[in-house]
Amino acid sequence: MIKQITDKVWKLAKSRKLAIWLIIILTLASTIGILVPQKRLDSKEYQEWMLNNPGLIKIINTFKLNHLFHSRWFIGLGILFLINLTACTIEQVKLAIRRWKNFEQLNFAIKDLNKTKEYQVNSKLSDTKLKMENVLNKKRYKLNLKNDGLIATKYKWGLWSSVICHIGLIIIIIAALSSMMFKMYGYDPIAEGQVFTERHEDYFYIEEAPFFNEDHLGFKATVKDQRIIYDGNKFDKLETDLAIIKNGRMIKEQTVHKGHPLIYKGVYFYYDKHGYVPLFTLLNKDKDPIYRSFTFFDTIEGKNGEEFNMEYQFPQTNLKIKATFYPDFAIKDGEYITKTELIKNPVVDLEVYKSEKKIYDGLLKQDKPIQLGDKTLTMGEVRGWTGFVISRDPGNTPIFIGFIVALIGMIMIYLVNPRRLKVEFEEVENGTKIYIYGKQDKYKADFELKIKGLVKELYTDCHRQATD
Amino acid sequence: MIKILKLEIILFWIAVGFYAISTFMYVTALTFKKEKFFPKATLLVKIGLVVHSIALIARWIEVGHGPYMTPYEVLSSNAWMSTVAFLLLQYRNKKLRVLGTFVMPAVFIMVGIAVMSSAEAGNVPSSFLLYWLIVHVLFAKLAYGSSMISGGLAGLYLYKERSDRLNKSNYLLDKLPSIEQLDVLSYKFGAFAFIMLGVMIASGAVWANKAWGRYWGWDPVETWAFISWLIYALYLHLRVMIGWRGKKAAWLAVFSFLMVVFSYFGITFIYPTVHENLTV
Repeated sequence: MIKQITDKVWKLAKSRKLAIWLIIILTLASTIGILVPQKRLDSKEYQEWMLNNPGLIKIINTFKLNHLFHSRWFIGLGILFLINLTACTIEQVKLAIRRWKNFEQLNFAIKDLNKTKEYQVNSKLSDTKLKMENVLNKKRYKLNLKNDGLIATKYKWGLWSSVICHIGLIIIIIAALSSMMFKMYGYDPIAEGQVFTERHEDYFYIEEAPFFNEDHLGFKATVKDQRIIYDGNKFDKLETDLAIIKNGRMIKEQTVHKGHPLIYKGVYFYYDKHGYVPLFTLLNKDKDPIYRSFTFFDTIEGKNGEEFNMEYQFPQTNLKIKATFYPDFAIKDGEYITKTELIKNPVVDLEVYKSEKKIYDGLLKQDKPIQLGDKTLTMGEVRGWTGFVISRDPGNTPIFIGFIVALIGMIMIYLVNPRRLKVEFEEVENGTKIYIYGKQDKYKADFELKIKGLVKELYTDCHRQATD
Repeated sequence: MIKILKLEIILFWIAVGFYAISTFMYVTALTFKKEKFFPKATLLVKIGLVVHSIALIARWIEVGHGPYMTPYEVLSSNAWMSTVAFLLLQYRNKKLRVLGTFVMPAVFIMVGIAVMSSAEAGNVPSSFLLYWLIVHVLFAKLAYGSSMISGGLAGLYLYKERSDRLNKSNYLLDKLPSIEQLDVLSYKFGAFAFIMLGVMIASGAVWANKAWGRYWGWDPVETWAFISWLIYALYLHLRVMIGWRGKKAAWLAVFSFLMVVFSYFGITFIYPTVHENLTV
């Protein structure tokens, strides 16, 4: 009884039809994921779309269509696909082993290519056999001699191409699933000179997968320097010298820029964006500091090369500021601009609100204090900051390996077609009759053309040699 | 720089002219059974391609990066790749010249949209130019070209099969390879497109991981490329496992090509994407 059930389950798991249906369902599900705006992609767009499609709200919420690619049913579909793919691959391995063993067997033929490919030469059987062997050897066929003929094979290892491709896909899916289970993905801006600790509560933003294990590596990171590189007049990239410190010693230092992350014990530091941190000092009427700190100015929508903005409420005061920072301030056609991103003439365009009432609207220049009622605000030293995406992902390397394996398999499927030729000889009165059969797994019609050409070539060659 | 870009635009317009005339000749040849038009149309395509190639090289030298940053560059280079694929195919098999009737109108539409869009050079930060991105772009173009040829061959198959079925004699169609051969050729190019799409997706993912710290973000263009790849996977599996041949397979090949076109030029009109450079 149990065996019957397991047999049925296995039969279903390895079903090719199931594979096709799963591909169709994955395709449709991915299409729905495009048609329904995904929450995390653009929440504003999502809200608008929901307002325009009120009738769909219930369905969308029930099936989590607005968060489809991370929904349980989509992940379940992925797991089902993985099971089916694995079962099909196991079957393919069995088949490949069987075919590998029987590759040189004689019992095959090809449609429309029975003994019609026969011709006669006027040489003796033994000579003809030898000549045929030479011709096929030249074409790099591997020969297996039999009493009544020979079997010529080529690209036998191509029997494994489909298996290799599917194993690559299995690695990718397992790696992607392990990422979803064990990955950590965070973000933190680090100013020049600032020390970042790897404690997760110190991250600006962090996402931890359900089974992520926060085993501390006990290191710190600091930005030693950052440089803006120009290509002519245009911003090209930001280079940041990032150092890893452990037990008070610097153990690794690397220049990080886009596409060149620092990797330390599986933790990746990717450049994401950058900005500026001017030192603001707020003094009370007695000239005692009530606030003194580097304050982060972020880019608009995270795009570099544009304005740098911030809104901030000074602690223990009712003062709130809205500010735009210009590292190399200038006025062009009445508009405030920054000529470059280099810190040459730092200026802040500042609005200050006291209990929601605007009390200041003007410029704040470096080391030139302004009065805000009975308080004084100064902008001092200006440093840069770099925002790092920090991730730790056990699936990172396996996914890459999976890509490579799958691609090797795909290329093999396309280029390496196992071929078999069977040649039979029959001694007749005036010479030898030759029969040629051929078989190729793919592109059969194409191979029939090829084999016609080969037969012609073999005939010409054997006949010429026979005549010689 | 402006002078060279102007020269490039003039050359591009000349190439568009050659493509337009060849398109007209191919369509006329098939519709009015003017066989002598085919070699002439092919010659015009070859001349157009030479001029087009010079225009692309001139631009590459001047702007300092390959043709993949602006819609103008993407459309122009995709049209170039499709034309190269078609010429190579008809060089190997002269019977397939008639395929130009399907390929050249599509090429003409692409270059037509390109000339209507801005030819201004885009800025590419050097940090953008990782080897993986170059691989990604190269294989995207190969995927597009092979998908178009596969779809075109499938279109020819359907046309010829219908003519055969209705006993409509067209001696030009009779000169084509057999419908079985067209079926196999379409399948081969479909399989090739599947691999090229696979390499394109994989290299794009590796590039994204190096640049942003994640392989996959379900960006609309990414997702649609994945959908196109799945549809090609379906096409190949239906052929190999269920034995789909002929009309059904041909329709699916045409559909797969349309999906690829949509991932390049349709999805970017509808959704915001990290592939902003594809937005016309």
